Amino acid sequence: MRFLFFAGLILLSFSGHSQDSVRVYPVTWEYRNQSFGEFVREAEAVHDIRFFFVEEWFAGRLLGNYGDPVSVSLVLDNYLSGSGIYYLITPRGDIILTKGYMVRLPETRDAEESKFLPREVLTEIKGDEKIATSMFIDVGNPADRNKPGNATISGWVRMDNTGEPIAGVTVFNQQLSVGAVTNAYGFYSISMPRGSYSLQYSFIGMREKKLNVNLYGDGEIDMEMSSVLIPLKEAIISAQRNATMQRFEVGLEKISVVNLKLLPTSLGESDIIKSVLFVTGVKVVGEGSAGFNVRGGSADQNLILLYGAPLYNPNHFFGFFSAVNTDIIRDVTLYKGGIPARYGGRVSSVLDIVPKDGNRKEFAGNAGISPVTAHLMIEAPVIEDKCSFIVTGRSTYSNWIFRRIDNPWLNSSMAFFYDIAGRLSYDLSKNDKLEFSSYFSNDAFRLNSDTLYRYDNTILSLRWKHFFSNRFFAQLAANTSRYDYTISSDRVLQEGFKIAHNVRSSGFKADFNWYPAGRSEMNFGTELVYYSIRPGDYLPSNDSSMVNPFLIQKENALETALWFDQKIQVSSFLSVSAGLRFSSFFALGPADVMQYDPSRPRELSTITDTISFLQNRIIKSYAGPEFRVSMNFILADNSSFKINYNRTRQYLHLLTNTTAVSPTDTWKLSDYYLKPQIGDQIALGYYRMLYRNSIETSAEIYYKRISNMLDYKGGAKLVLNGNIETEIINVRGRAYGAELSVRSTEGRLRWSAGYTYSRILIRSVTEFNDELINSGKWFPASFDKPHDVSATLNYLFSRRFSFSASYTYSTGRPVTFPAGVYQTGGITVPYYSERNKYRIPDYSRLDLSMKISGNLKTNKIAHPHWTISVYNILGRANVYSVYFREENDQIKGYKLSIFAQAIPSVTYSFDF
Amino acid sequence: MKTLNLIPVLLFIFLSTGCVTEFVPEISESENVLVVEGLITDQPEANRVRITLSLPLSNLSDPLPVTSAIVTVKDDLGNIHELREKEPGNYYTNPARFRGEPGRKYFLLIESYMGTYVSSWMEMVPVPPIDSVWYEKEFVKLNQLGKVVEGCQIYLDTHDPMNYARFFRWNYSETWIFTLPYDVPNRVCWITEKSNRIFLTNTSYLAESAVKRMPVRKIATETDDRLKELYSIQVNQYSLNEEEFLYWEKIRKISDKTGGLYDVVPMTIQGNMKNINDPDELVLGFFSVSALSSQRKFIRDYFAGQKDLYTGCPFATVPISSPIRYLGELYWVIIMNYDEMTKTYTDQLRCADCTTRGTTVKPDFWPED
Repeated sequence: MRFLFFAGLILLSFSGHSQDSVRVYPVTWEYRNQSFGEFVREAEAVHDIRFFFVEEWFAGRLLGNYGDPVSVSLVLDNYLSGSGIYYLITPRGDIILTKGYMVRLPETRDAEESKFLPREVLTEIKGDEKIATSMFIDVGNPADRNKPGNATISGWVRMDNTGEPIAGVTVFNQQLSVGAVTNAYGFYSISMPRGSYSLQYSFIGMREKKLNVNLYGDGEIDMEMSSVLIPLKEAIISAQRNATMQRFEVGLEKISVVNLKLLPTSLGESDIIKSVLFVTGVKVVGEGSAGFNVRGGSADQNLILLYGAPLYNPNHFFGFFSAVNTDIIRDVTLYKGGIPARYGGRVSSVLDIVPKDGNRKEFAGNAGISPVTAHLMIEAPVIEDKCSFIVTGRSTYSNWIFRRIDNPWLNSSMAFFYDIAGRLSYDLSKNDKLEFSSYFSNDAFRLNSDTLYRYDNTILSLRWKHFFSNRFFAQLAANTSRYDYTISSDRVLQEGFKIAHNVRSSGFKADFNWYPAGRSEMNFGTELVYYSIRPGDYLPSNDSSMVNPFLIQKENALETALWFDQKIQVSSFLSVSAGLRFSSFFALGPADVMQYDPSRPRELSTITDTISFLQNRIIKSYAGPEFRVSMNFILADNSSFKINYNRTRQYLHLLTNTTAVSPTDTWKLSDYYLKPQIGDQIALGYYRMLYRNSIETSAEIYYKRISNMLDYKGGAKLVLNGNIETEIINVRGRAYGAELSVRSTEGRLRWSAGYTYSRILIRSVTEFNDELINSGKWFPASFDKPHDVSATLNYLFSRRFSFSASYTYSTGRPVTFPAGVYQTGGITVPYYSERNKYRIPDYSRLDLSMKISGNLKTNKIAHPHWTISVYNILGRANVYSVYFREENDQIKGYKLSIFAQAIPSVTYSFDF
Repeated sequence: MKTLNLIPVLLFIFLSTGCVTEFVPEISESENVLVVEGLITDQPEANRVRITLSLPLSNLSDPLPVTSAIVTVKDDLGNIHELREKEPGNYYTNPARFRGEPGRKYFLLIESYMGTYVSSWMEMVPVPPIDSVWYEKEFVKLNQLGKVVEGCQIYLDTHDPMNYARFFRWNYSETWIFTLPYDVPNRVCWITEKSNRIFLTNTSYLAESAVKRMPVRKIATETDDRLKELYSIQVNQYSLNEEEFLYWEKIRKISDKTGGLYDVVPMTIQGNMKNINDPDELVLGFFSVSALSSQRKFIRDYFAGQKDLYTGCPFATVPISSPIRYLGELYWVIIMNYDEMTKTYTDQLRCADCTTRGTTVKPDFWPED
């Protein structure tokens, strides 16, 4: 492919030639039967002209006899006629060929500078609206201008410097107030009646682009956008204003990695999960605890997708760090509500981590070191613009430090983690794109040479995108994800034991997107996931161990789903998205299922019988529809109102009785007894842009009902319990809340503030009075934290220096306190307050950080950055947990603060 | 099996920055929760009902007794028996006038300044005798010298040919004799210890109500000298009705503290007592009605690896005439050797006086050598 035209290289300057007319270039040589390439070379040799085109367009076809004498334009007129290729001769002698659309010079020549790009990289105009409005692009054949019906513009939006696709860009037609949003792969498609329009491309953190089109017929416009943070030269942008207005979903939150990296870090690591916590409606149980709670959902109700596969443990170090290195993330979308039909399997939210494809233009990378880890990222094209890879790795070096600290306890301990992720993406052809991705993470801890904790995540994913046409494309994906943990101890060799748990899933997904004529969009597809879980094995850890192996029977299941989703622009002010997902679940044998006396609570003592199921026999199946409906009313240019309802079903559950998620929690499939969790959420949202669209405000309220949530009987033991149904109580959840947010994402000073009020109350549902928790009354779940305030602030002093601060406040979470003790049967027994009657103290924290970039000279090999941050600068001893233990027949309470003082850290990294 | 605690892990990670401080929760709950511990059996002995108030956390003092209450037991024939308070809060039946009868139903009525409390009707289920209490030597491990260490596992068998008794509870009382290696005045003593665990079984889903090889007690001889000479265990077997079984089942769950309190989902266990006027008031404890059978087992056997707790007594030997300062306060004589005119003394009272651990009063069931 011969690209003669590059962004930024050629700037056509009209100022000096504004009155020039296009000259005539006579063809003085024997052009007949020349190939187009030969013709171009000859013409460029004879005249002071240059051609810009893609050679592939003309492969094989020779020029004919167009009479004599001829000019270059006459040859082009004849040669290109009917080929869909248009040309433009500029006054300076540049001849630009375009396919599928026509470029026309502006009538008014007040432009200072501007650039045209061939199809692959279309028009970039410097952000000044006046220039933009003067440019018109023809899409389709002008002869079709009077044809009836709509025409479709589709295309890709990418980053200009890396070629990475950008998801979530709003493409907005201002005249008709219709828009489209690029999907996860940067693809968009918008249908409009034929006519002249102004199209606007905008996305948070990106310089907005405007484009005028004369729409005659279907065509493609690919757009390149640049991040405003890279040049930092000017900060006059108005991004995203339509993004929030246009989307159908209430409760969708997009986090760009650029913004994420501006937030203060904990221990020098910028962290994806931690940044999600600044979103209103998202809470965490405690500092540094794994998992988060979205709108009153439990931590296992979040589907965390990496490379399209579920990531079962998204944490390192028991939740102090996210398991996904931010270097590989392109962006992150959190669906708090309005979950599209193509996602399913979890009740409360979807966190879709979209990784980078790798730089398709040049070799680049990043390396750095923080107090905890060292990391490296490399990305490069394998074949320019066709195939690229990206690899990241991160590892702790704390072991190395521990061995050097003069403390026998630390010397004999170890704490270690690493993660590696990579992707290879390859465009087989214009219509076929292939991606292979993989991810590994590992954690290991040993405490004072006693118990070793280890856990691993593995994800492999293969995806093929195929374009049937510019209105219809499909993606086929296969992936496998696995999570393993083992806990072993060899303190006493003969008693050495190992507890192992793992969950594996293999999925296949076919997803089709169709943009039919008219203002609608259709998405449909199917998904199959096979699960296999080892609930817990207790094994001897060495040859001399006398531990008797104890294995809980494996669980297997198949989950399937079919979905269909349609978005319709009903009128200029109303758009509707209606979707249906039908999911079903089959718990499969082999398994022995205990039968219990139905008139009594399920206990080991009420087992009456056992039913054995053979391999792959269906033990139990569940199925049901999930409706997803959204409506978006555009009230005015700067405000909109949205409403949505969705139902979600969840067949995979996390068994945990600690308040925070811990890596020793085990995953459990729905089975003979355990019913799927079903969530229904209705949410309303109002969005308004203020101050010339520079401040974005939103208010959302929601009500959610969850059935078949899990809680546990008093005294329940969850680890290595083969009859977990005897410990589980079904609870019903009721969550409601309001979320208010204000933010300004433009200019040197960027800030956001959010307030969340949310409640999650649960009530035990059982026919046996004995099992009722708090006598069957509604009570707050252990992650109910009604008030939450978060604020962030970021100030760019200069291109090299920025400052940021973040603050969070939340109500303490509920706990159950022992109220006293008494003796019965010769035993001292505590009795408790009602479950979750009390709360730990409120939480409040302020973090600061500064980012200093080294010399920004472009020719420097490496660009260094220093990040200095202070976590919890107020040194507040926030209470993480309160626990009680028996010491000498006495029950003593303790409170644990994890970061009881300010923690400074310095991170050094450099880009190359 | 081990249960795992996460707390030390968290402590470890934030050793340098985190902190743990003692925490006394502010509880608004009434601290005066009534606790009833009552047991009526079919044995010809005084049965006790103990009424106290619960203790706040981290308080080791004895619970406050509820005195001057009127405590009565009624049965399903309309018989009423009033208990007498002999010690504060401890109310006893008169064995001459009251004895539980299997098959009868009883309930307890307490009229006190706290209110009027009543139990549910409790049926006394007949109990079969214990078939046998027996033991097995168990190989525990090889010690550091490569020698075998044995332990003792005591089991129980029982069955009810009538299949009346379906729910059993056991407790035991161990007594053993030990002798100091020195000729001191308090040389031979007995120690009695009661079980502090709950043993329960449910046979209701078995065709026949039979319990075999029920492990009762495991003694690690490596750290324990109770099997060194003569050891005795009395196992008490109680028949339970289902309501009581479920109560003890819950108590067992939360008291099996292999991990810590924070591992277990918190649970308040409501017993069978209620305030007549306020059914929602929390009343702790249980009024038990059980038929009882017992069996005592003596064990005199050699267990490899048996520990002698008195091999390590520190001592010094001096001429018999030398005075020893602080004799009887810090030092005690353990050997008088009149042949060599020396005496040996120790600074550990436990080596010189067995009453530091036990009592010199021989239990009446103890055999005459």
